[in-house]
Amino acid sequence: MKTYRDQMHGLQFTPEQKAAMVDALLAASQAPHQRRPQPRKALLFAAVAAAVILCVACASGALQATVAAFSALFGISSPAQTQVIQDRAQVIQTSDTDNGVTVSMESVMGDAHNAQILFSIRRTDGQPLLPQRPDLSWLINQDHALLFEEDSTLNMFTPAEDDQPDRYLLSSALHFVPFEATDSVLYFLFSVSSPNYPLPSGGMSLTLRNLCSYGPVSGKDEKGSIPLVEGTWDLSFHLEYDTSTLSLPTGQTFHHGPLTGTVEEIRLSPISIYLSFRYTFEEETLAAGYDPGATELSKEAWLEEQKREWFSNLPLYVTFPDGTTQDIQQDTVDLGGFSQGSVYTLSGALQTVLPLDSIASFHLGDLTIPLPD
Amino acid sequence: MRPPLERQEAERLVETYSDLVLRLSYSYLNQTQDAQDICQTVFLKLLERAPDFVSSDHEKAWIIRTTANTCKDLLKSHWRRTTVAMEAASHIPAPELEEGSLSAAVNLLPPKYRAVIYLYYYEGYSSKEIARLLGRNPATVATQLRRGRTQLKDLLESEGSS
Repeated sequence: MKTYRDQMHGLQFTPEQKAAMVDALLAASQAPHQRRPQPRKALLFAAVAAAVILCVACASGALQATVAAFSALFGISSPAQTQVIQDRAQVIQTSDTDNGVTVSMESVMGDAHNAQILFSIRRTDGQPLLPQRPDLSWLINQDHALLFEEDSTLNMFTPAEDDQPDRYLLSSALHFVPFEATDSVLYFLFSVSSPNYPLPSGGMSLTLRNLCSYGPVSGKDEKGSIPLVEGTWDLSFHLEYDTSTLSLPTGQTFHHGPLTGTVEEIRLSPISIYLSFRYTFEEETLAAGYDPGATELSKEAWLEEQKREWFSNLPLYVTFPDGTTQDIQQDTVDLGGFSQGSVYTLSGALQTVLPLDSIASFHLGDLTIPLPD
Repeated sequence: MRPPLERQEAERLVETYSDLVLRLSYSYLNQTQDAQDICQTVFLKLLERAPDFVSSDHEKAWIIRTTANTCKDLLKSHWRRTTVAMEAASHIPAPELEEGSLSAAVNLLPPKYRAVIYLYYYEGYSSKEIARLLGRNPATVATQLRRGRTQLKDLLESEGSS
């Protein structure tokens, strides 16, 4: 039996395909260069922030920054979504300064199992935060290029006295709001998820150290990052935010092609979804499409691939009273969808804000579940 | 923007990284049909953005990061979920997955887990390095590796990879 490494090593382009790629690359490099205009996301952030300042309902700079950050990262724009943030975000505004740089925890918004925490980082003298070096220009055009060398974000959600910290199965994602090289303040969002156990609340502390870009990665060099802003920032705060979650009725059956599911649990909050259902497939219907002449996969592997495709395109969306819809199948970050035994689970923080009070119905496959008024 | 590409440099890029892009994109997509397009996309981004690499490791890390982002964009794109007939001319055979093999078991994991497993067990990166490559929190990568290992425990031990 081939090992995993052997299998992967066997994946190679042919010499002919590589030669074709070289020719295509040369042709592309000699074509007239048309620089795509970079979306001025930082201006969008500033414009949204300016619009929010004019908003009568906005209460504070931290809330303004939260709305603007979510807008720039996830494209939220409706008054209903803005209202959700204003209603649920807990303003923290605790900060620490080291080496002339201040890191602030601006706000947190979440539910019992997920949290979106907004931070800012800026120089106290108001100068551009990042070093103004030409050799770092690539950093600005590279997504997700910034990381903290050390951060204890997840540790703060794992109670020290817990004898089974791994059970939380915490996961997180870090999003920097799009910025320009000369910006004096950067905003970033930590999304944290714990699908199996509720996130703790109360008094907490957090340490962040050295904002870095990823640099040379070496098997021997653990400090492979390029430090851009050096400092150690210790934040102490109290988390007590609205953790309410909407649980929808369960036990219904839905269909999607050869897939039949029975709902076991649906939890919605403005920033997350937890969905699990028990499923079966019409194996004969699926297997009838297998053509050994059209694929290199064994029949069993091909069937598993087909099932994953049916999971990945399962209709999962919400409908608003005006008839518009919002797809949430691909909006789940972190853990995503996972099949274990005959139960499929989709959970994690969303890259959007769901205004639950404005949603008329929830849709899964051919099943429609009206939301309570 | 760097000067026009020399053939020698184009050949170096393709020879050095095309198979890496193929394997990483297979890890994300579980198919090889889009691999050539992903390769071209990654190399064209390299030409367009012309980053100044401080070392070959730095260049490789950039390639991995850009490939991962391109694959994730493809996973989310609507057109991929509609059935589109692909020309067979550029077909690269996907690995034959023997029932009960580690590869077959890895293929049952979600795309994010498969990419982490590939970078860890095939490319030999640490979880901390993988976190930097993919722009994830190190604890997230450790969680994904731990969960993947739990699922693959027996198979990993039999291949001496645990």
